[in-house]
Amino acid sequence: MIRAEKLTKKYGPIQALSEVSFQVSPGEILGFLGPNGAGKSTAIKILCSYLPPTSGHAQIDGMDILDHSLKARKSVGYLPENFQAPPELRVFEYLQFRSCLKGATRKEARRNAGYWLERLDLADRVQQPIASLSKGLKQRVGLADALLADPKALLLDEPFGGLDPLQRDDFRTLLKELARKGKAILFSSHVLPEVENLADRVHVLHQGVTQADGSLAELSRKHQANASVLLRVASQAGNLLHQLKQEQSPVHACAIHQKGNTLTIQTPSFEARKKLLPFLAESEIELEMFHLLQPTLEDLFRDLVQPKENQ
Amino acid sequence: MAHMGTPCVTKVGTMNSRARLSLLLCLASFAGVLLTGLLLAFFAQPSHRVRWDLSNHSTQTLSERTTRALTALPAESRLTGFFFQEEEHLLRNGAAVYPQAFSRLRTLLEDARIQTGSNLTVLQLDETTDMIQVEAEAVRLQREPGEILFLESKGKIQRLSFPDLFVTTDPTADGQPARIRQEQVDTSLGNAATLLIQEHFPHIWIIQDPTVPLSRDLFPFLEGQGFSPQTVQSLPSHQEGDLLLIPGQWKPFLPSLAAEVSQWVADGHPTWISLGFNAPPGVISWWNEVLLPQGFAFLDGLVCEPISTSTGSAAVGTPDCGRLEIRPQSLSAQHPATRFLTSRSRSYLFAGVRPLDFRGGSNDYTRAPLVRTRTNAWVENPEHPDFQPSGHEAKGVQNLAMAANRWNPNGNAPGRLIAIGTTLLFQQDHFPFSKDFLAATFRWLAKGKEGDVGLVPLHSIPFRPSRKEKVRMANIAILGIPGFTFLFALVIFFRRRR
Amino acid sequence: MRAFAALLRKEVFSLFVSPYIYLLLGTWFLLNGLFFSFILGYPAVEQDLTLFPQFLFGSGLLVWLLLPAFPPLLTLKLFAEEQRTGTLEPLLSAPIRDVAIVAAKYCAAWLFFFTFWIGVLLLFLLLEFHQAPLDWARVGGGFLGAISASSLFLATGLWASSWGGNLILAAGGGACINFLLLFLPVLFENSPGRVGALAKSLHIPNMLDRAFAVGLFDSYALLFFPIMTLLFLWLTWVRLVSRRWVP
Repeated sequence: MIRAEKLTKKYGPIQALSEVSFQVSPGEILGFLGPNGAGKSTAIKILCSYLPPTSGHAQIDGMDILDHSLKARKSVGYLPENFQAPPELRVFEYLQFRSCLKGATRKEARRNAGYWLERLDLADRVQQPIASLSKGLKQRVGLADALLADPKALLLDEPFGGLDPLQRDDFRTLLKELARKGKAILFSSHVLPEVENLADRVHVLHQGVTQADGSLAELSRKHQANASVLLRVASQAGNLLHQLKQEQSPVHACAIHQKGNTLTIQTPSFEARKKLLPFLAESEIELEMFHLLQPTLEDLFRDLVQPKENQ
Repeated sequence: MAHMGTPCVTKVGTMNSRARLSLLLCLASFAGVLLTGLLLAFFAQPSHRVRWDLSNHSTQTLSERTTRALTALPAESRLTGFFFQEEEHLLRNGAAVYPQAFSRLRTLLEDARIQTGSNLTVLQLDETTDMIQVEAEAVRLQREPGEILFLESKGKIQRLSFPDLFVTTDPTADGQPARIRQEQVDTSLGNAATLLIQEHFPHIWIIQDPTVPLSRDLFPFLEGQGFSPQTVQSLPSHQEGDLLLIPGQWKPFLPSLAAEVSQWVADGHPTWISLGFNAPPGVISWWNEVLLPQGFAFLDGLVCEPISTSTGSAAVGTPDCGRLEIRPQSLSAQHPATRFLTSRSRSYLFAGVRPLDFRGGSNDYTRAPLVRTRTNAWVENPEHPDFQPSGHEAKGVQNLAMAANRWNPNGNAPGRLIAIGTTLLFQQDHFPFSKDFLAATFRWLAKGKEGDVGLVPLHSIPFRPSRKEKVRMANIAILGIPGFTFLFALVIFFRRRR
Repeated sequence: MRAFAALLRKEVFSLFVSPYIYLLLGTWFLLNGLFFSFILGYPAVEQDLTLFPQFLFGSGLLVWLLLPAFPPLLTLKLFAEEQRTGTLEPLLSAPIRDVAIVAAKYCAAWLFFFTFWIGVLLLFLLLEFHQAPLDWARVGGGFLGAISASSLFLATGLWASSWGGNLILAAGGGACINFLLLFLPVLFENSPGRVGALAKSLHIPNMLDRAFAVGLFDSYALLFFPIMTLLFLWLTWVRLVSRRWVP
């Protein structure tokens, strides 16, 4: 449904995107991750035809965004970061206008606006001037705007900004429901737990370059740098630490932190973890707990982004 | 370029994007400007340009005759207008003379520029123009104060001063401002152009009686009409179109001149003869003799009409009865000399008029009255005037001017002649109001064509609301309408904020 | 077409519910009311009311001051204000052609500016009510000229508004272009050769004063304003669509 191929974007000497490729299938939710300036918003703006790519191609519902821009835009619902609407208009007036702009008749526009206002819990705000809305409410109006024309693809740039936890829950539920109805959803976010909870797949960008693309499970398998093992012993924790640092230990090269009787071993590889248990059995130290910690999205994100930032 | 609304990615060489964008913007903008320039240049050409004059009296464009004359001027001709309010009396008492006059002139000069294309350079100088340029032009043209228009072509200059273009009344002591009564910008401009393109100007040989004072503006006026006037004591050899003008006569001609004049008339050369009510009987009888073939004669007496009073009744018994108001309907609507004038809604003033009538005549001439009185006129005996119609005086319609022309004109002897029973038309007080009559009749005499010339009445629409009305209008304009709008803004603000 | 109509409705509505615009409108009426009263008290106009349209529409401050200054104050809302507040992005990513955006915004501004002229027309109706003998051909011509000129100045204002989100640049830039369009031909009209000829053919005050305001309808003047208006609308479209041209 959404397909990007080698999208590249330059702002003068600055490379905002470098040959970024991804696709979002109908019913799929893709989380776009990356630190500030990674190129997430640029990629979304290219997809909604607001900006042209320097090179590369993108398609929405099979329509090339350059060759069939108007048709592509008809298939897209776009929620910009920091959504703004004409302050002089009221909520209902604005949504009615946007619906007409997207091709609805005035009657359809009234119906669409009414439906989404109800659906997004904005029914009591219909006559409120947009200028007087809180950021969270504005964001919901923006989402209603994006959904008005029943688009096949949704492009949401930082959609959780300004929402309170309850609104986020509602929002998440809604997006999942929309995905179930077959919509392709691409959203960027800094709120990693939201992405973890919501996205079927994530696409990690850093300095305009794709760092990773896949489901969380796939990424966990591929990027285990931050997988760790938690050990707790009844006593002799210092002794165990000493043994683990010996050359014959499978984790002798790993970073090991001791806190009381608890040791945390940063295991770089699956092989090392596999050999660790037999090695502990041989050490004859009484083990109270052995716990394998899987990396979180945050760990992955940090792992993918931080080393490069340090560079 | 992509079709509207569809974005396209364009790459131009290896330039950076900012330079590429600038280049593309410049190219697209240049294309638009170029196309606009071409379209405007096309539509600006006189042949592609139409002007519709929808103003009340449709006088905002030059006549076809004037346009033709201006267009016929050689290349690099110049028309310079000096729009400066120089005559103090025309400014007194809040007069609108200059605004009206300059508005007319500017509009017609703009029309001249547009209609003539590149042949004629039109320069309009006023208070907003660089004074160095104004001074330079004034020096170059040797301009005298009061001169407004200068038409130049190949070193020859035609000058038109304010009185050549407009007929004004003076301001009065009781506070009335000066007013424009008529204007003849179009005619004067056309005549000036005609003079510049003409190689031969018809002469007007004037046999002037020293006791009949002519208006000092007569000669410039006749020159402006495309004639070359000259006072003579004997008739020189003549060419086609030359005229003889006798603007009044108090003494019989010397025999040699009498013979020449008699021969001139008999030969059928164009002649204008004016004899007032007080011309000597000898002169009258001599002319009646000469005019016998033409078929009319001057009669004795002073033509009078009752004068209209402010109450609407007609008054007699006053010398003013000898001042005749000649309305357009009193002019011949059939004769080519006056036909054009009858459509003008203005009157002429004939004073001290001797009547004329048909008498004798040969079959060689057709004759027609040009100007007649109303039915209530009478002929007063000037020796014992009581200015009342008495029993023995002739009453009814009187002929004041008559014209004759040869039935079969041959070459330069068309036999056109006009006889008129007043000499005051050429004198200072009456001349400004007779210009179009004179121009039309001279044109007919010289060329046999309609006198498509003359003064156009300039219609002013005064509007003097009372003080109370003025205050009410100002209140509505300054307080009412804006105040209502501001109030509306407040209502909108509070309603939308709620 | 549906999108164009929707945007046009919204723009007109936005203008009609904006208190700022009503303040602008009120100021316009106030200044025109003042000019109206001054001109009416002018002795020459008392002598001859046919001069009135020329004084107002031809050579007065309405032409030299209000006409170039007010349209950019109106059009600054259309692109510059939208860009500043961030509402332009949702509009440009909506399924509407750029040409329709320019056309809808221009038409909205034009329709609204028409109300500016209706207010001025009220002043003439006021005169008519007081039995003033108006030459309606001249008055109509004056209005047609002034509306044509304001159509052009709205287009220049729209172009200036499309330059970016700086409101001062949008209003000031538009007014500058308008003043240049008025004054440059006046400065160069007496120049010799092609410069003078070009200045005369672009001389807006002449067209207003010596054609429209005297009841004279000149095909060139009638076409000049629409052609120039289209030029500036084209430039606006170029400006708007160019963001898609070169990455």
